[in-house]
Amino acid sequence: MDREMIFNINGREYRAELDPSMRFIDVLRDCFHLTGTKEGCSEGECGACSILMNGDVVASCLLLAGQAEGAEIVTIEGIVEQGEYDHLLRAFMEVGAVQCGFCTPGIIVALKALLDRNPNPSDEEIRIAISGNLCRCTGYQKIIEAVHLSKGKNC
Amino acid sequence: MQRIDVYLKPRCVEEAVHMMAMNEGAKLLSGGTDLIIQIHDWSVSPPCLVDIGGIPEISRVHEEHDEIVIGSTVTFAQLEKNDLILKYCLALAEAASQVAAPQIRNRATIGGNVGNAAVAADSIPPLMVFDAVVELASIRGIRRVPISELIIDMNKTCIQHDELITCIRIPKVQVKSAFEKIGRRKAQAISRICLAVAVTSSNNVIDNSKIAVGAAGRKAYLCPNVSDVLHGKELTGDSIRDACAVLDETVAEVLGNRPTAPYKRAIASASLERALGRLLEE
Repeated sequence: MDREMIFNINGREYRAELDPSMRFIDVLRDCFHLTGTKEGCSEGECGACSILMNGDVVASCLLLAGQAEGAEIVTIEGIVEQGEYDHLLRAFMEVGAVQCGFCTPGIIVALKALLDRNPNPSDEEIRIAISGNLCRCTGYQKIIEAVHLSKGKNC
Repeated sequence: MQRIDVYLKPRCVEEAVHMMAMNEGAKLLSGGTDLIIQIHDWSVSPPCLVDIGGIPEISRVHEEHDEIVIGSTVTFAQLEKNDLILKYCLALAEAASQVAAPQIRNRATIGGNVGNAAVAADSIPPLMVFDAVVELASIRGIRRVPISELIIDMNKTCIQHDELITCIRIPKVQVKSAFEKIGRRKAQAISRICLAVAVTSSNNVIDNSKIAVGAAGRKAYLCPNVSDVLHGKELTGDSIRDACAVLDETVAEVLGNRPTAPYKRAIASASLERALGRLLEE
């Protein structure tokens, strides 16, 4: 049943009349037009729909609106807007870690969850951090290179 | 996705059990990593969801007298780095760290893993070797069921429709333990086999050991005949080989003429060899 719901997304308040049992990815994309978050597999396997919930990376296709309410949500739009990881985005382009780009928002979100806690990760730590994100273009090596390239660089 | 009529968010266990009793057909929602997929693909359509994700009393790990108490909504991400779990239930921490991927580990809960009772549920063999007891609450009160009795069959437990798992209790005993899993790849893999061992020894002689295996039959099970082989022995290459041979036979017996039997018995004994081998090196 619809009711008024309030979300904290990218530091802003979003309000809508909606059903708390809606999937949060549908809330983001259809209600609030935050379409940077992609839907791939719809079952938590591909990571394209990754967002941050209270700082942790989660799959927004496996999250209901009622669960996201009250949490601090960050999407790819918030990361780009804030500019804190511009050096990582540039490194992605520099080394060719983006090809079709569909997985890229989810991977950047997963990497933010890692780098916020551990600014100097090892290869293994990067691999674990993006182990829930499928990329069918790059083979991951360039993504890992991009993280190393961005280390210690400021915007 | 179809609309669910009622979405409830209890603040405590007492409120939750009342909601479960009052709403027939209600489903408990916690991490939702299984349930939300089922709702989305229409394989489940509950009239009511009771979201227990926001109940503080069941979302932490703590000590109570001589037990470790794991709240049912504790996530795998919490388990894999919790100090008490790392100290007393290492095999469970190892299992938690190998479930799916970060996105899932940050949401999926131990209560959900136990309650769904999937054949390949990674937390169940570790809970079996640690003699875990599952605490269930309903308006009728609280009851405690050992994990081995709770799971009746594939995806089937003795949990009543209005009961909720509040916590899992593990005796606080210092044991050496290890977990091994074989999947088709490292991340996001459904276990082809998952196995846990827990061993206590005095003067290097094993006086108690437990071995549990999952994904090798309709439900996970303890292997007392493997424990018998190890009893009174030192952990050596020879005793490990003997234990693996018995596990191989046990798994073969459980699986009978199922087509996966030759593969499963081989990877089960290989996993046991790895797990005991790691304990030997410690």
